Amino acid sequence: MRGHLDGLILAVLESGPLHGYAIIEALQARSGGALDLPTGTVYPALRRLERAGHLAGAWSTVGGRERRTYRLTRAGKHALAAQRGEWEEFRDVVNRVLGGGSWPATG
Amino acid sequence: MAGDGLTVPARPGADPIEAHVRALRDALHGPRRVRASLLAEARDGLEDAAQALCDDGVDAAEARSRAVAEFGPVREVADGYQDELAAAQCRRTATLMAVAFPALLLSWNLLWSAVSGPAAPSTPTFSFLSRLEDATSLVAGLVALAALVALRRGSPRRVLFAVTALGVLTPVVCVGAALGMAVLGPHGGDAHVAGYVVTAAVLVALVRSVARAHRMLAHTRPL
Repeated sequence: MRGHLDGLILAVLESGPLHGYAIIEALQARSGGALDLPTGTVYPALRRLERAGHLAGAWSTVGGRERRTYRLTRAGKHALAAQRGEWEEFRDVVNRVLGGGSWPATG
Repeated sequence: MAGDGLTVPARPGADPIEAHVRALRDALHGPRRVRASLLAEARDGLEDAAQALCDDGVDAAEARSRAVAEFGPVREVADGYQDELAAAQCRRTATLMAVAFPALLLSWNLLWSAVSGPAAPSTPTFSFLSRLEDATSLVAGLVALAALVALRRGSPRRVLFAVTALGVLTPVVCVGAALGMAVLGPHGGDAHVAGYVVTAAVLVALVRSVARAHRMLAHTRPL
């Protein structure tokens, strides 16, 4: 699951900017609680995505406290679209193999 | 969890969130301001997690311990943070190089032209040293720019290594060439002395930044 963390983070930020813990809550909510990774790995992942130019982060006051809020950049939207495409392709391949369908006829 | 190596055991009576943030701080090495920003965000996240658990009816002390457990052990999460600190130090050093080397190249060329005139005769050795210094500075500046682009992707360890090597080799070549040119070339008087002082100051700043970047290598996970 960790290999897909970047794409999952980009996906939850698609609907609007969020601060770090709100991103973690959104990941858990959208996965129905199945996404069980140490929350401490999400914060550096956010900085890594910011370094890559996929997110823009800034400190702001949210709920009376200073929090670092992240929003998806144009490059992040493109990266998300690319990851979705790759995932759908991968899913189709795995479905074809695991689905147990008959082999395509040759010749 | 205390004693299993997964979380930092808080001293009796100590706040688990503060103890965990302190342990994370002790495990991280890098630019102070970036480290403070990373730790502030981690602390915020832990406080938010504890508050969310409290809102769900969990006892306050239990909520703080559970927030720490959900955050993950320092040894497991520190690598991700350390990568970002290494990237920050690498960015500083590469930016300094990308600006300093071409700036020094331009300044020295102007200085030599002012002292000796554009058509001044020079020995083959002087010309070779001059071209060597120009080419080295130019390539170093371009490699530093490439490093800044490469830093946008993945682990910074390889970029850090390249920047460190560049930061050692380039000053050695440039200082060697400059000393040779100072011996062989025309004497520029006070202008040259001022040039050497400024160059030395820039190189000292650069070497300090490179030394910090080199220390980052020891603390950054291999690819």
